[in-house]
Amino acid sequence: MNRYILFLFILILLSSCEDNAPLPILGETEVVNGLEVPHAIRDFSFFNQDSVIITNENFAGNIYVADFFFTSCPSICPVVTKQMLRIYETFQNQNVNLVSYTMDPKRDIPAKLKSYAEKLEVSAPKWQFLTGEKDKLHEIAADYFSIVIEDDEAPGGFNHSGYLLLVDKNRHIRSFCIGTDEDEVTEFIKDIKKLLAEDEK
Amino acid sequence: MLLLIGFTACKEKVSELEMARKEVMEIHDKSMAEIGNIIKYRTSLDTMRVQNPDSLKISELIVNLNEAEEEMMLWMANYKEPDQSELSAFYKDQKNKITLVAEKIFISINESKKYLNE
Repeated sequence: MNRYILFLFILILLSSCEDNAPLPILGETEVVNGLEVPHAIRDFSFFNQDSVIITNENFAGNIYVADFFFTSCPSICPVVTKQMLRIYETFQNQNVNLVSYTMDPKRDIPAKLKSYAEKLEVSAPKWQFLTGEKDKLHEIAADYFSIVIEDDEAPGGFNHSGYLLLVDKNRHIRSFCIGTDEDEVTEFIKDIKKLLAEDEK
Repeated sequence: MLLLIGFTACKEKVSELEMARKEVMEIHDKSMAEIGNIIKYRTSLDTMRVQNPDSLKISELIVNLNEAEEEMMLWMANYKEPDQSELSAFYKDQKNKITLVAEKIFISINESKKYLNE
């Protein structure tokens, strides 16, 4: 019996530790000017659904959730978008932004993104749908997913995997989940709340 | 009783259609998941082309990768589900179309992979 109580006590202690621990900074550290620094999302500049240029500066001081999509995707994207919408609604009045990068800029021009956003009844600046040069979009996708793909043998389907990524106000990725899995998104939402609370401290 | 038979028949039809859609989407999802590899191999081939600007083989591999990716994007852009009465024929047609796109994706990736590993 005593052993059982001790086990329970340790379990409670461990779970409370986990809850209080800050979210880790994901990704490999980089060496800049001889100093090891954590991975941070590189500079970017794209057009949004209103044809306005959006850069990292637009998210300065705010946290955001990013995903990659195609407006015409018939299978995974609608499921992921539904979960993004859930996040949008949960944090409607808080400093959380959403960013959806298209992987098909040839067809997903700002006007197309605009009608996509309007159908969802969402708008910028809360939810930015971004498009631009294809190579630049691939580069930024690779930067976000560098934390997920660790080796060459990993599946190459990152841009069709429906990942959602949580970025803090210092451009660090702090959490991610598979956006097609409702339960994973529920946990992810808890991480967003945790990050918000961290910023308020 | 008749109503029940009618209802069951209708349900079976719906489930058949659901299965047909699922089949199309599975082929799409599986090949779409390879787009990341297309990007990866194209980037490697682009780097190689700088050293070998006259290599027809490298150019051909890049063109094939680009075409395969473009065909998938076009397939998605053109994918519009019709009315219920036409769905069965539509899924059959889409299965043929997406199978061809998927083949092109896998072949272009395998050829590039083979060349890069030589």
